[in-house]
Amino acid sequence: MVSVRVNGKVESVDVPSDVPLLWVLREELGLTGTKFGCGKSLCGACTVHVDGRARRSCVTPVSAVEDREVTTIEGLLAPDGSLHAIQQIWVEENVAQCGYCQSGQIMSALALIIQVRGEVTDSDIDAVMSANLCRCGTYPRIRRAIHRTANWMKDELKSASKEGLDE
Amino acid sequence: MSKVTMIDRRSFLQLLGSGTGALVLGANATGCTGLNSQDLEDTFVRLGIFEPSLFLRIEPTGKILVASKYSEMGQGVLMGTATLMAEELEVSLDQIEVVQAHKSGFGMQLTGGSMSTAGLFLPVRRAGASAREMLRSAAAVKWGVRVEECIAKQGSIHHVDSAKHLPYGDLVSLAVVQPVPTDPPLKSTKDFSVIGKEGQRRVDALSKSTGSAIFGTDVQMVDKVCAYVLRSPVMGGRAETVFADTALKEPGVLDVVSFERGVAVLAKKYWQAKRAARLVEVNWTGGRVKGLNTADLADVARAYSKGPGSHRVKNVGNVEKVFEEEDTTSIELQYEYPYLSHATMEPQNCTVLMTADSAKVWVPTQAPTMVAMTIHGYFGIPKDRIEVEMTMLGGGFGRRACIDFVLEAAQLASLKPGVPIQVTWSREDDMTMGYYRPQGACRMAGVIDKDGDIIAVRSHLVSQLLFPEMGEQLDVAFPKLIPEKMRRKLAYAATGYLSNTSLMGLFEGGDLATCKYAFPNYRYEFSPIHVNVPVTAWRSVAHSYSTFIMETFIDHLTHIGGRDPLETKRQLLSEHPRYLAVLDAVVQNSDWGMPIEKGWGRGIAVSEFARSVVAQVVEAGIVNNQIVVRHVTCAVDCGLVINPDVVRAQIESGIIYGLSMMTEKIEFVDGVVQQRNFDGFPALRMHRTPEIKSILLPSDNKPTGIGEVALPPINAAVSNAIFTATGVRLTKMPLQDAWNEHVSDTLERVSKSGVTQ
Repeated sequence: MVSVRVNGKVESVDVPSDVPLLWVLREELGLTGTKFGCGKSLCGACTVHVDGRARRSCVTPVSAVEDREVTTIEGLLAPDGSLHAIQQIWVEENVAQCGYCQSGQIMSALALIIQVRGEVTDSDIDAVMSANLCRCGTYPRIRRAIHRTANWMKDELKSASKEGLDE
Repeated sequence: MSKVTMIDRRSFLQLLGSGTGALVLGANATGCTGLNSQDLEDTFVRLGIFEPSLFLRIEPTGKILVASKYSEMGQGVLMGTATLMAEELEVSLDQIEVVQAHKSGFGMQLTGGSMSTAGLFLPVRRAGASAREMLRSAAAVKWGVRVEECIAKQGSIHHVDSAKHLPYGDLVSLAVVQPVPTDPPLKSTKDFSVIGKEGQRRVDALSKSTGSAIFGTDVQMVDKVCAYVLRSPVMGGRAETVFADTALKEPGVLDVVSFERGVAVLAKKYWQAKRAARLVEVNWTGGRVKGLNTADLADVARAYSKGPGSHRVKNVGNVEKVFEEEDTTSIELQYEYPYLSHATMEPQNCTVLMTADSAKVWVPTQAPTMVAMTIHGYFGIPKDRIEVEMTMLGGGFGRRACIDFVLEAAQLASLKPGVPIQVTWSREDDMTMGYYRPQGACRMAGVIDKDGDIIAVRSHLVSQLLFPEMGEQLDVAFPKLIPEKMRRKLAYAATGYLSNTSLMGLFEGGDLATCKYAFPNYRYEFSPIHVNVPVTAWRSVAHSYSTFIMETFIDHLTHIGGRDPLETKRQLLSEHPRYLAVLDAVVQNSDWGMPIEKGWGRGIAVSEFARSVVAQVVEAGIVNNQIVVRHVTCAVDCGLVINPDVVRAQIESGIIYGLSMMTEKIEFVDGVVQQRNFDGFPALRMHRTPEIKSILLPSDNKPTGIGEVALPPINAAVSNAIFTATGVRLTKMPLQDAWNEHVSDTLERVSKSGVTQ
C-alpha cells in the first residue's frame, strides 16, 4: 500500500512502489485528464504538480510522491466546479486543437507562472515549455495564454498585498 | 444485405421519427473529397449502403443536439458543424451541443482530405434550415397565422405583428408533423451572423482545457482488460518461442497470448501488463521488411531517378529539343525525402468487446466505416451487430485512417469473447510499427534561355505508391467493393500521379493539384518503388514533398536566370487569379523585397491543396549551424471563412507540423526502425516556433479545405530563404540533414585543400 495525496485527498493505493505515478492517477484513481504520450519524460503530456513543481508523472515512481501534494488538471477546478484562471484563458484563446497534450501544457505553464510570481518572459516560456510537445502546433496560442495568465497572477498578487496593507 | 434500396442522392434529409417527442432529422453529408472520393461515394450509393451522417435533434426542453460522424482530431470540425447549424437554425453557438455520432453506419465515413467542414457547408445548413422552416410552420398552425408572419430568432419563433413568441422546444411536438422541406431557403451570405464571426470559442475548448475530453486511451469500463503487446523488432515478425511462466505469476496478469501481431500480456490494469511484459521471453523470426536499409533504398532511388521513368505521365511541347538548344542553360537538382511517422500525441489504441455474433468498438478513428467493415469482413459479424463509438482523436494526420490497430485489438478480443480488451501502443510501437509517409527521390532538370525565362522542365519522381498497402486494408474491409482498376487509380493519385489519365497531381489539375505553372515545354515521369514498408497518407499526402520539389526548383531556376522569384511566379501563374491574389497579399503583409541583415534571407512559395490556395514568405537563417525560422507570413484563400479563428489555428498547425519536417526522419537499418521515441524524432517545439502572421483573403466562394493546406509550401519557403541567406541550395529533406551534409562536405574540402593544416 502506498499513500498519496492527490488534489487535496489522501488516497491509499495497492501498487508496487515503482509504478509510475501516471498509471496510479489514471488507473487506480480514475483521473484520466493526465495523459500518456511517451513514457520517457520526452513529451510532457503527463505533467502534474508535485508540491507545486511540474513533474513528469510517467517517470515518477509513486513512492517518490508519498506524503507530498500532487495536483492534476482535475485539481485546478474550484470546489464549485468553476475554472481556474489559466483554464478560462486557455478556453478564451482557443488554444486546444486535438487537446491531448493540453493538460500537460496547462500544468507546466501554471507551475512556471507561479514559480516566477507572474514575471514571465518569452525566454522563460521557451526554456520551460519546450519540454511539452504539441503535434497540432498550438505553441503560439500557448505563449499568448501564458502571458495573459501571468498578468492575471500579477494582478492577484498586487491586490493580495494591497489587502494585506489594508488590514 | 437486408435493406438494399436505391438512394436518390438529392434526398439528403429524412425525418427520423419523434418517438421521444423530439424533432430528429438525419442528413447525408460526404465530406471526404480529397482523393477523388466521388467514385467511391457513387459506389456506396449504388450498393445502397447509405446512412445519414449527421443528426439534428431538438428536444421539447429546447435542447439542441447535433451528432456528427466526422472525427474531431483538432481540425475543428465540431466547431464548424455547430457554426453552420447555429446560423440557419437562428440560435447562438452556446445553445447547441455537438457530439460525435456514437454508432457508425456503413455510409462512406472517412475524415480526411481537409474537406470535412467545407463539405458540410450545405448539408448542415440545409438540415438547420429545414428544422427552422418546420418550426415556423408549427408556429403558424398554432397561432392560425401565415407562415410568412413567423420569424425565427434566437431560438424562438416570433410573430411579426404581435408580441407572441414561443421557444423552439414548445413547438417541437407540432413541428414533427410538418412536412420536411426538400429545398429549404438558405440565408444569404450578407445575412450571416455566426458564420465568419470573430471571437467565438471552440465548442470543444472547455473539455480540452479541463482534462475531461475522452480520448481512446481514456475509455473506462468495469470489466475492461488491458493488453500490452510485445512486438518483433522487425515489423511483421512472428514469435517463434514464448516463455511466459514468470510473467503469468505477476499480480493482475490474466493471460499471455501469442498472436499474429506479437505477444500480448493481458492484465486488469495497463501498468500490470506492462510490468509483466518485461518478464516475457520471446524469440522472433521473419518480418516483412527484414534486412531493409533505407540508406540503400535512397541510393537506388537516387540512381534510378537519373534515368528515364517507367511511366510518362505528362509530355507537353518538345522537351528533348529544348535541352539540346544552344544559347540556353540547363540545370539539374537531385531531391530526396525520408519516411515520416505521423507521431500523433495520443498513441494508437483501440478497445473491442466481441461475442460470437456482435462487436462493439471504442476507437479514435478517422475511418469508422473502415473499422466496421473490417470487423465484418474479418470476423463475419453481421453488419447490424457492429457498433463503433468514436472518441476524441489525440491527433490524426492520416494515421488514424488506418485500421491496423483496430484489427489487432479485435483479434485479441475474439480470443476473449465477452471481455472488452483495450490495446494501448507504447510510443515505441507507434513510431516503429508504421504507417509512414513514403521515402523517395526526384530528379529535376530545367532549361532557361538567355533572358532567364524558364523554357523547359523535366522531372522524374521515384517513390513508393501509397495505396497498395491501403489496398491490403481495403481487401479486408471491402472485398468486392473497390475494383482493381479504381484502386490502382487511387494509388497513383495519392502518391501524386494519375497514370492512366495523363493527369499528375504533382503539377496540375484535379483536387491534388499543387501548382499550375505554364511552362512551354515539360515532361513528368514517375517510377514506383516496391518496398514492403507500410505507408499511408500523411498530412497533405504527396504535397509534403511534391510542393517542396517544385517550389524550390522554380526558385533555383529563377535565381540562376537572374530573375526575381515573385515576378517569375506571377508571370507563370498569370491565368490564375487566386494564386496572384495570395501572392499579392503575402507580399503586402510581409517585408518581402526589403533589406535584411547578413545571414538571414526570405523565401517565398505558393501552392494549392484541397482547393485552397496559399502563399508564404519565410524569414530564415543559420544560427550555430541550425536552421532557424523566425517569421512566417501566410496568406490563404480558402473560400468563404466559416470560423476565422479555426482557420488561423489550422494555418499555424500546418506550418508547425511542416517545420517539424526540417528535422524528422524514419530510417531502417537491417529492417529495424532507428527512431523509437520523441528523442530520435525531433518534432518542432516551443523555442523553435516562429512568429506566424495569417492573412485570410475575403471570399464569397464556397468554403474549401484548411486542415492541411498550410503545410506543403513551408519547407520550400525555408529552403528558398536559406538559399538567399547563404547561397546554399538545400534539396534534401530533412533540411537540417542537408545543411549538416553541406557543412561536413565543406570541412572536408577545406581540409583536403590544406588550408586548415
